[in-house]
Amino acid sequence: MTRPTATNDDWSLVKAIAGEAFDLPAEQRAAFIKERCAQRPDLLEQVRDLIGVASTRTSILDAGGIPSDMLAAALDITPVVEGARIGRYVIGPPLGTGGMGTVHQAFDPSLSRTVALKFLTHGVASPRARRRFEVEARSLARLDHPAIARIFEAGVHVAEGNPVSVPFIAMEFVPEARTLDAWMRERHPALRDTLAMLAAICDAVHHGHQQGVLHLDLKPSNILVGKDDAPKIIDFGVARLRSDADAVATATRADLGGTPAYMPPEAFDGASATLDTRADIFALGAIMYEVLAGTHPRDNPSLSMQQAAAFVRDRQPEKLSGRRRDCKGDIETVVHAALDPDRAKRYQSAAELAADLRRILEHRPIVARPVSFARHIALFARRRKAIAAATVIAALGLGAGFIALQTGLSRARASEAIAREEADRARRSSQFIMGMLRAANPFAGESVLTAAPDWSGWNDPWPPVGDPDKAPSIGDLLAAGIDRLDVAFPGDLQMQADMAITLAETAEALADRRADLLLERAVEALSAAHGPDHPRTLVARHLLFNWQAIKGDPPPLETLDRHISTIRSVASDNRPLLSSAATLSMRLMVNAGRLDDAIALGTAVRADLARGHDDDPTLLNADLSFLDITIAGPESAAKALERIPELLARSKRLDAGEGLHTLSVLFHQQRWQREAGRLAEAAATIRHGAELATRVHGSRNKGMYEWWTNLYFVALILKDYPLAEEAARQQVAVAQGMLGPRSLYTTKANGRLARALLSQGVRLEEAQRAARQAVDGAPELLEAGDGWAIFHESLWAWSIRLQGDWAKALDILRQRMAVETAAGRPATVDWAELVRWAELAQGQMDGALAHDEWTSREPDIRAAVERAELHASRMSPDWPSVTLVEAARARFEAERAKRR
Amino acid sequence: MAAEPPQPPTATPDASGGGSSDNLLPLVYDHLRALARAKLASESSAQSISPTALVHEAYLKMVGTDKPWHDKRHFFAAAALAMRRILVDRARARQGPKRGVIDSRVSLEMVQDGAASDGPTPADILASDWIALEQAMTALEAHDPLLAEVVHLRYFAGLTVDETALAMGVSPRSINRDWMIARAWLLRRIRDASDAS
Repeated sequence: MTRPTATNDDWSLVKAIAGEAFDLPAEQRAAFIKERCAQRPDLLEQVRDLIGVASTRTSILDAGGIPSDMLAAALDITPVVEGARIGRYVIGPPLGTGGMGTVHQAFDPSLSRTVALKFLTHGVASPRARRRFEVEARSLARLDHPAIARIFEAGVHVAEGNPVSVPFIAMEFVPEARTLDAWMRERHPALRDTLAMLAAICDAVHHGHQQGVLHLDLKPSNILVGKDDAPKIIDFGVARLRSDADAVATATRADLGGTPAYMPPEAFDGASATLDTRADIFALGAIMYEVLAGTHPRDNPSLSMQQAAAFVRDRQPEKLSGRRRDCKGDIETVVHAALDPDRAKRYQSAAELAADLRRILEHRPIVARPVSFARHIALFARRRKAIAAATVIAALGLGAGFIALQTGLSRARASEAIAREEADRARRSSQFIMGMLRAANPFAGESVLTAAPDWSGWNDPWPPVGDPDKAPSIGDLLAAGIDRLDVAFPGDLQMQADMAITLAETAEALADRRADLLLERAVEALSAAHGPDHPRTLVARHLLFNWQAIKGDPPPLETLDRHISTIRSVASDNRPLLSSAATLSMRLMVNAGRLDDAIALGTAVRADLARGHDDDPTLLNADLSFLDITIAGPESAAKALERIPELLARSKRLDAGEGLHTLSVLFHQQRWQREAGRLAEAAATIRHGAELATRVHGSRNKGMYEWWTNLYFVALILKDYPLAEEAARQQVAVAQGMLGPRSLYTTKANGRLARALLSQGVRLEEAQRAARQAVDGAPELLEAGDGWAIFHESLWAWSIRLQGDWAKALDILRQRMAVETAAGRPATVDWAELVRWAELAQGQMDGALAHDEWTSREPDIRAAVERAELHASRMSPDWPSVTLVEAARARFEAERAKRR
Repeated sequence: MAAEPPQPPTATPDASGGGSSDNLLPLVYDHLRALARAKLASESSAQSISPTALVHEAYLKMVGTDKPWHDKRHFFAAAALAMRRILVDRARARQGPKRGVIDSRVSLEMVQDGAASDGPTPADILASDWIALEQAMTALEAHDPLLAEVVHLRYFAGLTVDETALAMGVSPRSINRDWMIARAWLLRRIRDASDAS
C-alpha cells in the first residue's frame, strides 16, 4: 500500500468532497476541491487523485455492467473432458454447444456404438426430480421414428465437488450430419426437394405429438441431415426433461428454454399460457420460412427473449414471396398459416401441415385457405379430372368458401378441402374397383362402353392379369391389385393401405398366400405414411402376424414381444388390438413351452385392459381367450370351467339376455369341457350354442361353421362318426355356400368329411372325392407345404389304401414327402410316421428301419409316436389302430434288435 | 470432472444488514449458474446473458413474490456476491496454469477518457483484471462496506441506480455519488497494486 491509510473521519470527508465534486461539470471540479480542501490540505491530494482516476475508462468497470461474454465464459463450466468416462460412456470430441447443453460424441463399449451424449444445463437437485427425469427419459426412449434421433438413455452425472449434478442424455449419433440450414446452403436443393424434406420433418414432429411429446425447441440447428439426405430431429422432448429436471417450480415459459426466435406469440404471454402442439407448428412455420427464404421470419434467428416478444407485439413477418418469388401462392399460404400469431388459426397438427405440403407437390388444392372457383377448375384441369367430379367438388368449394368468408375460420376452410379430398378418394377407389372387375372379365374390352368417351371406368384400365388363356382367379386379381395401388392412389399411402388390407382379408378367406404380400404392403404404406409404430400401422402388422400364425409360419416370439410392448405404449386405447395381439403371443408362448410367460403376459395385459373400464365385451373376450390359452390337460380345463358361471353371468348382462357374448362363452365352455374329458356335457353345450348361433347369426355364416367344427371334433372324440360326418357335411355346406369350392374353409371341411367317412369305412368313393377336393381346393397350400395340404393328401392316400391299393397309397405319400424334401422343408415326424405305418402295414421292414433311423434323430420321436397312437386310437378300426400299430411296432422292434 | 467446483465464499460482507446472506449464498450461486447456463443455451448467444436479467430471474424463482424493495436487499447482496464469485472462480481457473507468471502483472487496460470512441470491449478484459478487481473489492469491503455494497448491487447484481436506491433505502442521487466514488476508489486501488508490482 503506497498511500497513508485515512482515518474513518478523514475518509468520510474525502467522500463528501469527492461526491460533491462529481455532481459538478468536470471542468469546475478542480477549482471546487481546491476550495473545499482549504482547511484540510492533507486531503487535497487524495481527493484529487480520486477525481482524476474517475475520468479513466476501463474495460472492466465501464463496459455497461458485467459483460455478457465474460459471464457466459465464466459459466461455461464443462463437466466433461475428452477421454473421461461418464457412466459406461467414453467421452469423445465435442459436437457442439447450444440446444440446452453441450454435446459430445461418446462411445458405448458395451454395445459398441457411438452415441451423442448431451449434458443438460439444468442441474438436478432432489432425488425426486432425478427420478422424474429418468422416468420421462424412458418415455422419450419410446419415440421411434426414422426421422427422430432416438434417445437411448438418460442419467445423472454427479461431478466430484459440484453440488449440482448434471443430467445427461444418450442419443442416436448421426454420422456426417449437418444441420438443416447448413445442408440447405451446401446443397441448394430444388424447391420440390425442399418441400419434401419439410414434409418429412413434419411427419416426425407429428409422430412425437401423437406420443404426447412436444419438442418446444424446433429450429434448423435441431434438425440434422445425414449423409443419406434424410432428416433427423434431435432433442425431441428434451424441453420436457429439462423442466422436470429443474427442482424449482417452473414459473415462466422462458424456463422451458426454447429459442425465442422460433417461439410462438403465446409463449410471450406470460406464465399463464400453456404451450401445446401448435407451438411446434409455429416453429415449423418459422423453419420453413427460414429454409425457403434464406432469412428468418423475424429477420434474426438469434433474437433475445425481449426482442422476440417485441417483434411478436409490433410486427408481422414479411410475405415469403417478397423474399423468394417462386414461393408465391400455395407455399406462401401454407408457411404463413403455420406462422399465424393466433394459434387457433394455425394448422392444428403437423400431419395437416405435412399433408398440405404434399398436396402442393402433387398439384392438389391445399387446405390452408379457401380456393377460388376458377382455381379449382385450373387445378382440376391440370390433373385432368372428370368434369362431373369437378363440378360437384367446385360446388362444395363455393359453399364452404362462402362460410369461410363469413366466419373467417380456418376450420371451415379445412372442411371444404377435406370434402374435396374425400370425394377425390372415393372416385379413385371406385376406379380401382372398376378396373379390377373389368380385369376379371376377359371380354370387357369388347364392351360398347369403349365408345363412351366420358365413362370414367375406362380412365384407368388394368393391364392383363394372370394367364392370358384363362380368366384370372380372384387371387390373381387381388395379387395384381398390389401393383395397381401406386397407380390408383399416388401418394395416398393411407388409401393404399386401406385397400391392401381389404384385398388381404379376401385373400385370407380364399386361403391365398398372397394375403401376406398384401398385408406386408399395407404395413409398408402405413409405416411410410404415419411411422412404423403408428397405431394404424400396428393394426396392419397385427393382421399380418396373425395370418402368418394361422398359416403355421408365425413370427418369432421376440418380434411379438416387441409388437405387444409397442401396442401397450402407443396404442393401448385400441383394446381389442391389444387383446388380440396378446392372445396370439400367449398362444405361441404356450406352444414354445413358456406357459409361465404366457400367464404373466395375460395377467399384465388383462390389467391394462381393465384400467379405467367397466366390464365390457373386450374384457370378457380377453378373459375367455387368455383362460383358453392356459388350458393344457383336464386339470386346468376343470379349473377354467369353474369360472363359467361368472363368465355366463357377465355375458348375459352384456347381452341383456342370451346373445352374441353368451355365444362366445358357450363356445369356450364346450372347448374346455372337451379338454376336461366331459364330452357329453360338451355335446350338450354345443347343441345349445348351435341353436343360439342360428338364432343370432342365421344358419350360413362363419360362426355356424365354427360350431359345426366343434361338434365334429366332439363327435370324433366320442367316436360318434356318423355325428362327425353330419357336422362335416354342415361345414362343407356353409363353406362352399359362402366361399365356393376353392377356399381354405371348404378344403378343411372336405378333409373332415373324408376323414369322418374313412373312419366309418363307408362310402369310400365319396371319401376319396372329398379328400381329392380338399387336396385340389387350395393348390397354393399344397405348393407351400401347408400342414393342411399334407393332411389332406394323406387322407386321399388312405382312402385309396382302404380300397386295397396299398402300393398306390404309399406311392402318394412318398411323392408328397419327396416334394417336401425337395422344397427344403424337413418332413414332419407325423408325416414320417404315416409313411412308416404304411410300410409296416406292407411289411417293408427295410424302409421302416430307414425311417426309424431318421426319426430317431428327432429328439421328440417318443412324443411323436405317442401322438400317432393317440390319433390312431381315435380312428376307426380301419385306420391303423392301436392294435395294428402296437403289433407292427412289436415286429419292428424285434427286427431291429435282430439286426443289431 | 467439473473443471471448477464452486466454493463457498471465504468472506461475506455484512453490508447486507444481517448475516442471512450467508445461508442464501450457496443457493443463489447454484441458481445463478443454472439460470445463466439455461439462458446461454436457449438464446444461443452470449450477448443475451445479462446479470440483471439473471439476478431478477433468480429472484423470481427463489423468492417469487413482489416484496418491497428493501426486503430484496439480502437477496440481491447474495446474488451479487455469487456473481462476483462466479467471475473470479473462472478467472482463477483460467489463470491457473500460468500462475506466478502473470499473477502480478496486472494488465488492466486503461484508456483515457474520450481517447477511444469505441470504448473498451469485453474481449479486452483479461483474467488478471478480474483478480485485480476482486482484490480491490476485498479491500473496499474492509475499508467501506456500504460503498462495497453499492458496487455489489449496481455492478455485480446489475441493478439500476433507482433499484439500488430503493434496496438500500437512500436517494438515487446518493447512490450515483457513491458509485462514482467507489468506482474511483477501486480504480485507484487497482492502479496502485499494478504500479507496486
